[in-house]
Amino acid sequence: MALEVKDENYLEVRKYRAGSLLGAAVVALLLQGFLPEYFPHAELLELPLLVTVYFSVGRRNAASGLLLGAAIGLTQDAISHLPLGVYGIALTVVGYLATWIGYRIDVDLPLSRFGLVFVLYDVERLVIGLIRRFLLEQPVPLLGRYWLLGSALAAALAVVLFPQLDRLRKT
Amino acid sequence: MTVPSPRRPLLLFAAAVSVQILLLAFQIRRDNNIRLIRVWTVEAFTPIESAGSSSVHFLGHLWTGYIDLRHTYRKNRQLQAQVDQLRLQVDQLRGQAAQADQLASLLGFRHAHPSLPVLAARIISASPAPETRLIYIDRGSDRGVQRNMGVITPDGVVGKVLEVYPDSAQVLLITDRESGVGALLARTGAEGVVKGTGGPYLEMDYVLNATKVKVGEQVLTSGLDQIFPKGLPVGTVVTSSAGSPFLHITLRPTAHLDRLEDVLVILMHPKPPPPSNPDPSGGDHR
Repeated sequence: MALEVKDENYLEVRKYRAGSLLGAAVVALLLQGFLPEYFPHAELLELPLLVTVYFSVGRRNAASGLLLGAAIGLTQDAISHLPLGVYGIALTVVGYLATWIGYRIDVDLPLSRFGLVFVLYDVERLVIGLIRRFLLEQPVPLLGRYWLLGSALAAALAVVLFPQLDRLRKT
Repeated sequence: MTVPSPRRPLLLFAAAVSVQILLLAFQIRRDNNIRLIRVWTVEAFTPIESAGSSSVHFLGHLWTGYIDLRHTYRKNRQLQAQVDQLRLQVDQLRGQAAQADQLASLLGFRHAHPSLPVLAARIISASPAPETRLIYIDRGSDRGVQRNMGVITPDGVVGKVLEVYPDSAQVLLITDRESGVGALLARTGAEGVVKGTGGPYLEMDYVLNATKVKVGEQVLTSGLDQIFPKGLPVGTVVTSSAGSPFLHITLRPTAHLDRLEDVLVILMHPKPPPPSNPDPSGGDHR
């Protein structure tokens, strides 16, 4: 089924400078591994999630959103010595949902960005929790210990970070 | 701007997630170091294999059952044929035994009445007309059989010879309406004539009302008709009631007339028939 949306600006497909997506993803992955060495709570930030959400929403294409999430998630799995697919599945779901939500709300507003990341952070945690519980048979809480704090921190960071990433757009 | 249909991305999403779940299952190891994907595969295929195996077993049993059923059916038919044959043999043996009993009875009668000249004969047919009570025997004039000779069994009087042929003879049973036998009541000695009724019973006439007759009393031949010697059983009184001027007495024949096989012809020369018949119905012309 096709949805007809009247406001063209609202559904504008954003274009980014060459290599910006790849660069942002690599930086996010590196920082996600690097920062917790110095700031233990930094592991709650989930920078790859933020990058996935930002570019999925901006490109407004579900296929590219879920594939971006899968690629970033599988890479995160690979470098974190987790079984391939744990973050892969979680970020695939996040990428798909981010695109789906991006069709429907104005994600340029700070409050929207906060809410979007807050929710998708929990979705990611929930998917990971389910995988760990039922596939890996690990007795862990479904949303993790600090999911509320992590959601709030990641959402707040998104409010700050996403305008910076907007600079990577082609004008 | 038209938003693309979400169906294709949804399929892609499902495919991406499924592939990664399989990837995970390939990496995860469960107890005994078995990969999760192998566990899943075995669990997915086991019910199918089990169903297939059960089906094969079921079909095997069905086939075996069918073959067994065919064998059983064949065996059953053989046994049924055997049972039929044995039943036939039993019937034949029963018949032979009954015949032997009858012959023994005849022999016993001959020994009991050594002075009575009798000829054994076999029933060959009965009257085809239901209105008459006739039988045919396999002895005729060639063996000395003559008209009006008495025919009996060890149980009692059967009838008399009506017509004679070289090899056979026609016998009028005592139950025929035209039949008549000189008789007497065994207890009182009152004489009368026993006549046929056309049915299974007999009637005894010419017994005075004053005569006391008891049900179950035996009626014997009187010998006055010169066909049967005196003292042969004829019948048993079933009912007796006063009439005018004689009693109405009903008898049951002593001889088993409904299942005759062998009889004895009394080879006594009967008296010649009277020159004129007083009975206007002409019954004696037989």
